[in-house]
Amino acid sequence: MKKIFLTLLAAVFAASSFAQLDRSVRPEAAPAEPLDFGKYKVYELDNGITLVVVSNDKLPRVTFRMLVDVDPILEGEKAGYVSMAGSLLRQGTNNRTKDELDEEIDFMGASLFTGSSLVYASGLSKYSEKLMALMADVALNPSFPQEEFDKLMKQQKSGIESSKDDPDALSSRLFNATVYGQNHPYGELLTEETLDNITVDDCRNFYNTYWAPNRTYIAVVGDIKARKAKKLVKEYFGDWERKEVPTHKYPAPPQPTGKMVNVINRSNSSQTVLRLGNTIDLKPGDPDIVKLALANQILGGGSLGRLFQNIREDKGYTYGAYSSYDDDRLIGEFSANASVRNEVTDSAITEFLYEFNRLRDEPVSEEDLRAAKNYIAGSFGRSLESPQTLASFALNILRYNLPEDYYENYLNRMDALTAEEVQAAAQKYMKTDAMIITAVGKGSEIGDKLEAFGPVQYYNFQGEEVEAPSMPVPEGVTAQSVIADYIKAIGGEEKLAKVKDITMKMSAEIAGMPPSMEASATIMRKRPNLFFNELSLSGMGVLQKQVYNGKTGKVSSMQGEQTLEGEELEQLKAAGEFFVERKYEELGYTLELEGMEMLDGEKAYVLKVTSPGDDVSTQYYSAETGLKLREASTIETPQGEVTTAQVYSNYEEKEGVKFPMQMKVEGPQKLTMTVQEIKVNSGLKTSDFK
Amino acid sequence: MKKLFTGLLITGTLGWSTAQTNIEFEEHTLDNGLHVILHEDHSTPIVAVSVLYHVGSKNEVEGRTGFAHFFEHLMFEGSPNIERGEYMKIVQANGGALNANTSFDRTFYYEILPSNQLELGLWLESERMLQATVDSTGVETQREVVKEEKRLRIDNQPYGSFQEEIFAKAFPGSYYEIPPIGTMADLNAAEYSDFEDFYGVFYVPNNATLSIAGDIDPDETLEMIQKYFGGIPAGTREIPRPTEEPPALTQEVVDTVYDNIQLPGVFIGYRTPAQGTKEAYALDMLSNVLSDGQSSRMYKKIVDEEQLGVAVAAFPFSFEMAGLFINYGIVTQGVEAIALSAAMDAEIAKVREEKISEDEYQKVLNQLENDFVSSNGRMAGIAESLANYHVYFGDADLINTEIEKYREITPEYLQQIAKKYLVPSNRVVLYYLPKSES
Repeated sequence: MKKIFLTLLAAVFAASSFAQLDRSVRPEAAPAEPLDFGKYKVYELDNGITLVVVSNDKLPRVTFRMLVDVDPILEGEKAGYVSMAGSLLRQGTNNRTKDELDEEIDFMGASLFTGSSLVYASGLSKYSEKLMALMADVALNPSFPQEEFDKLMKQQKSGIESSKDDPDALSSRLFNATVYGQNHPYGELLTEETLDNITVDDCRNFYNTYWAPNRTYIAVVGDIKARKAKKLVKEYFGDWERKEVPTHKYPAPPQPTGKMVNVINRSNSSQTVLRLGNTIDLKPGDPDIVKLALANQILGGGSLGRLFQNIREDKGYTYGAYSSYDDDRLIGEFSANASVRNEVTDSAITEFLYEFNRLRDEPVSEEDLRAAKNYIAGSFGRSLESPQTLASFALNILRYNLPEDYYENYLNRMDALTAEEVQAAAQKYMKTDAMIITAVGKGSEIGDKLEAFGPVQYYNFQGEEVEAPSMPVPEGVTAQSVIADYIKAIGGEEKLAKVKDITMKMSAEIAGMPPSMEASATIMRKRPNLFFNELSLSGMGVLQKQVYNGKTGKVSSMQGEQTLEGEELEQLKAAGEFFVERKYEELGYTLELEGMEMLDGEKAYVLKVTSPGDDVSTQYYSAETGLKLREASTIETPQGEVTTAQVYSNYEEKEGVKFPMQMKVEGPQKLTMTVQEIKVNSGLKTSDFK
Repeated sequence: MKKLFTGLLITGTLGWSTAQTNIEFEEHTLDNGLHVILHEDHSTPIVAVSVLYHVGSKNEVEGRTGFAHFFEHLMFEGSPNIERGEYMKIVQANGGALNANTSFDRTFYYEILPSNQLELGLWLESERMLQATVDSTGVETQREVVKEEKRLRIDNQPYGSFQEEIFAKAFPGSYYEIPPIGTMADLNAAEYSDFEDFYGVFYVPNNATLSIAGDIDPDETLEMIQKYFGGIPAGTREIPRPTEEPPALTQEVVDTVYDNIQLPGVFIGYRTPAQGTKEAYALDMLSNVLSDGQSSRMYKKIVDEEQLGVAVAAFPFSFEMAGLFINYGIVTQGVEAIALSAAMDAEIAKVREEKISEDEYQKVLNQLENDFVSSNGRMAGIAESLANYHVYFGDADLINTEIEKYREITPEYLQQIAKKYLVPSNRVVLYYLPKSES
């Protein structure tokens, strides 16, 4: 039982000892306690399963980790099916539906998850057997239900959609695709197209082909005796039959001949996500690992690292700059990264390269070397606090054929290393002469300056090469000529003048919207600038509405109705203006041709249009057809700036004038509106605008 | 050697039994008021040295929000014996890890060191308590770092402003109105003299708890503690603490926030009683019912079956003087935020209207038991829990017994609490909508 002492100490003791204390002397370390690694046991079952047991009864809990040794798989046009197969294991078995699995796992307060080559389960040790039974059920009897596959597919697509605007996700796609190449298992990219090619049978086939006991390791850790663990594994996995499993080899990715800069343009970025690196040939157990570990620690392993000290502490370009490396049986990697402000993107790259080269060119100081050794030894020691660490060591020793004492000697090997050995590792693995530099950021601001580091190539989300975002504007093209071409393209001055009113009924679609909800929109316009715009949702009525009847304007939404005045009213009136582009000059708008960019694969002129009331919009006109493709504007709200954009497409002619049949609204409300019915000059009355 | 853990080990899956660990510890109070808690465990040669100061953002004065956290940063600047910027380097270059955090109610510092460096940790923490360097250079450097931290963690994170927004509306005019990071304006306004005052009032041994866990000899450790901390004078100024509870909400508050996000979200906060109350324990259990695990009600219905949301969660924030029960969801692409909030409300209504089943009740107790056991897996966690339990409840032994508080709660009581607190008139609703698409 616990003992609690409540003691008040004698004051005399305190006062005397304190007086003699010289606080300027930093305490010396006491003799170090040796690290105790603990023991593990290894068994091999008849069917080939390797079992590792780490018994530790400190806490009444257990963890089971099942690992299937599968070679990396090149998925090609079905990229994504292997990871989907892994998730599906947890979504139903021949004995239990997903609901039943959820209930049984949660009832124990346990957790269980699956991946393409693993099952992980943990919970209180009193539930050991039940947990083992559940793990075996998902690992051996998955049913791959179509319904769960469909749900998962929907989630995957939601995930793809949000990663398109996530600079870190983009950076990782770009780095992998261009460092390993897209014909390598580590470089291929999952897209909507590859997802569409996947069937539930692909997932089932993967499982049937690669999951086999002779490729399986099970680590049992925690409050359980080795004998009991063995008995449980035998009981639940003993009947699983051996089989031949295909293996795969891949040629090493081609090495670049110099530095290359690969960019994804993200036009609303205020920061550039930078990542620099190269592949390395460094397999588990390689004697160089410990050398590179030290080199990497000194370079970019945390807040003591040179990258952090230089790029954050000294230059203030970023909140953090780090480096890392991976050893791998197929091919390893060295990389460094930081998110930096747009304007210092090139300066930050210069500092990264400076630090790589400094480590390659000069031996590190004894002080730096000692600090790095202590830091790694310290974190190694802390990691042993969890019995999982020992199990991981054991699994690595078995899978990679490492010497039994590989980890016990790790720190001794590291301690013996010299500054010269660390330098040699930097020279070998930080390939400053053949390095890929990837940047995800605002191309128009950072693009030019990147050319100093090597040839610059732009990519899109799918990993395809695309043209640079800004291109020189052909001679003779001006803002005025772009507008004149647009007027001509939609029908010409004469035809436009004949339009008195317009009514459009549109269906509004939101990707993935529940089928129970249908949205529709009505837009009406009447000369000179009467305007009506209503968006409704079935079952919920009018979501939002804007009306200008020639005198007053109002906006209503779920949050109530508001009569517009002043600047807001002027904006609504301007929105109602008929083919306002014709009258830009007359009304006092300022136009500025900003350049030419690629917009969804189409060359477009970019115009900055400023209204007399100082509202700015950015408009894109097709260089080929002259039609307006996109219009974006930013307004101030109490919560900050809000940008909305309209994207126009599928122009069709009505009464000699071309109208976009599809309009996507991007902004707080994201909608795709498709014109169902369009009427020109149907005789709208002022009283219709209410 | 003392036996530190007595695990009650039950095999098999039948029957109800209690998994329990017993964390032994000893407590002392020095003459200057410093409270000391020691836990001895020799499994790994490491030691966690921590100091908890009972001061957080709720102790800040008007116009100085963010001060307690700002101050935490300054406490790494050094002392007459530790040069500027050396504090972190000394720890890391000696194989240690360190960090600190500030909440509404307290500030917590810790180092995890190889156990042969225990004395180094005590020296560092005692320097911080006795004579931390607070000068204008440090203030200006850390002011920029804190502002950068705010930009990175809050202003620039999707939905990152939700705490700021929800607390402002749930606790208007009270000391919980603004989260510990504070406002840019107040961070800019902080003056050097403020820091001296703050240090003198709050960073005193009689407002601190030194909690140490790991590979130590308690008697030797206590001697070392005397050596480094015994002579630090007790604070002489009164330590101000708010005594009034924040005023209750009178009606539902609804608002919309535009943020740099792809998927709209809904954030709802219900005002609840302070941590440690029976009501707060009940609300913990209700959050499990609603969103812990894939079989939980909200996850099952909203994420799995209807696919209205990609994420949904209920979690109780509890503080010394009050609490806020947060319920949030992020929509599946294309779903309107209002449809998601209606589905969340339907589940909340269910726990108000019906008692949870016996099975579900048992499940929640099992989940809590698992969490309770797992929370004592690391020395740093044990040191922090012991200090928290002592400071907030005057009972460090709750580290062993808190699970009993949950077992005393009945399904009837859960429904009663849901009816009382999880109601619209007692909440703030925030809709998060995207500013734009790229």
